[in-house]
Amino acid sequence: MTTTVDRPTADPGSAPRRRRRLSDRAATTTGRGRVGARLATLVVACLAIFAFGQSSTPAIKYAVILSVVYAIAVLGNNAVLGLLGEMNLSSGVSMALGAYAFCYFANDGMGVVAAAVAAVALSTALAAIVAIPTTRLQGIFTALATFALAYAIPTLAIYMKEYTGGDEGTPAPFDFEIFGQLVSGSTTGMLVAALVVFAVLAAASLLMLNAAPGRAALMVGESELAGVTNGFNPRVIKVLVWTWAGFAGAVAGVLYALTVGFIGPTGFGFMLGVWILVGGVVAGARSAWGALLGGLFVGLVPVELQSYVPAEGTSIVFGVILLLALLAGGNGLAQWIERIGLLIKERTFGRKKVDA
Amino acid sequence: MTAALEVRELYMTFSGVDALSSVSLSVPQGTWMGLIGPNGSGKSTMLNVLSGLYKPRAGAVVVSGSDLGRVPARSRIKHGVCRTFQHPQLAASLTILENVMVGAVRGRGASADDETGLQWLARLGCAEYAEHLPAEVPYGVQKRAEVARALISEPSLLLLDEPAAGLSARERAELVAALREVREVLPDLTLCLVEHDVGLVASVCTELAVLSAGKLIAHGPTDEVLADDAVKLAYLGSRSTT
Repeated sequence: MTTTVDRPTADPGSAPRRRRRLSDRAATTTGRGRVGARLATLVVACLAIFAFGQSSTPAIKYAVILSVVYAIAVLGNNAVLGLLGEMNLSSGVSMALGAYAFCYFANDGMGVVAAAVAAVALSTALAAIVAIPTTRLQGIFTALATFALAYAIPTLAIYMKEYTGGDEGTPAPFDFEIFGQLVSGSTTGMLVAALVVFAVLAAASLLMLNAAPGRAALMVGESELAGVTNGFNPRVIKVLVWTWAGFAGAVAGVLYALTVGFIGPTGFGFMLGVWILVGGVVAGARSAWGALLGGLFVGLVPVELQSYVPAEGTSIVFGVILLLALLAGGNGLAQWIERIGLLIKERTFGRKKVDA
Repeated sequence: MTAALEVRELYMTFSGVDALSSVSLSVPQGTWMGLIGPNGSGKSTMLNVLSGLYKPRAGAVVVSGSDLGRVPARSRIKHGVCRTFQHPQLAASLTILENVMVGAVRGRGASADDETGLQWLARLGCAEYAEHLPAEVPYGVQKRAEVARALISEPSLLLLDEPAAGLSARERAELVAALREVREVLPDLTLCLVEHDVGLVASVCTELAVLSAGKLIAHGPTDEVLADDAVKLAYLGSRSTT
């Protein structure tokens, strides 16, 4: 049973030595690669937001802080949307869990930091538990399950009056200081704390996207069949991604409680989850720094719109902006900004040839 | 000598219809076996059962002496079973090289580095596309990248599902050359090749198995099977020699 074979057609030794480098265009398209440049952009974006917040009126500064808080939730939700391609409407639920647990622990005599850590740990654990059945679903059924969860939270908060304060809500600690800076409301300390937390989580998500965990999640999200036959457990990877989203949501919830100083069931309605999802779509689900744009979209646009259009009309304008973002295609505003930047770079320095 | 692949009395049923019925065969290590048959004969079902994506109603799949009956699809790569798909299953956001390296993460070639991935791409004639995204490269390159991803996992049994489907004549020739190169480099590799192009199968495989309506109607050396009247009737639609 011998067979004649030809000589090798390619000499393996002649393979060009390369790293796993993405071209500029591929990096722009996928939201991956160029980690150093993207980290620098993230820092610049955070500094710009800080400068904007500091130079604004207290009301706008407060809205900016809330926007950064929402950006953290957008960042978490983006992992589900951008890596797995699944629709999560329950980011508001994670925020509610984090906020309520934080206030409960803090008002129960626990220190603010300890209460925050305990609240995030509890909420993340709950998110992991909820993720187990949720990741059994696919497509529209995943969205519907998260919709049901988001829809139920305000009612549940009222029902669990003993822990949440019911309709009346519950106060958050006001006197928390770091390095002598008051971290609550519209203080500079609150703005810095929110931006630092966002920057750390955004950097972590950027690094993960470009490392083995991100590649595994992308493999499963973009081709589950290949993921399975190459040894990955899609269920485990999906649960981890959803848990990360729950973690980010819980962190946002704690910061939300510190910023607002009071939490009630109306703060975590179904629409919060929709806005966070929309923020990710509009700004770009694969961009770490783009999540900041998403947060600004959620936190600032509705507030600013009320200055120009009647309250009843804000939802319509909001919807039109979303529609335009979807029609524009690509991966949101962040990708468009990166594309324009690339275009300027190519016009200025010429296009780099990536082929061998 | 333990067979690289042994299939015993395999049955697979979809909604009461037998997709595979009493299929048994044994493939020695290092054999390249083509699995052919008309549309709907159960070739892809067979591959899905071998790779663990389908759970058979009855029967056993034994690879290198290990019964894989209770081994889930995701764990078969550790038992040396890897596969490609009729339509390339590459992650759109990973480069060709990154897609290839995915095969090394959980496979038996876990220590493989980028250089190894590039060498496999070079052997398959597509190293120059390493940094490109799947959407930026020709279809044939995507297919060969899938083969490279499977090979970097150091399989003992490689399952190829219609690797030539959708390829131009030139791309098919490149694929054949690449497969021959693989056989030269990995003489112990056992291959199960599902393909409609009988000429391509005959040019690279030393054994043929023929399925018809879920039943194995022939299995043996390529020349003998192609000369079999039952095969001509069921698969080629004629008793005459072409």
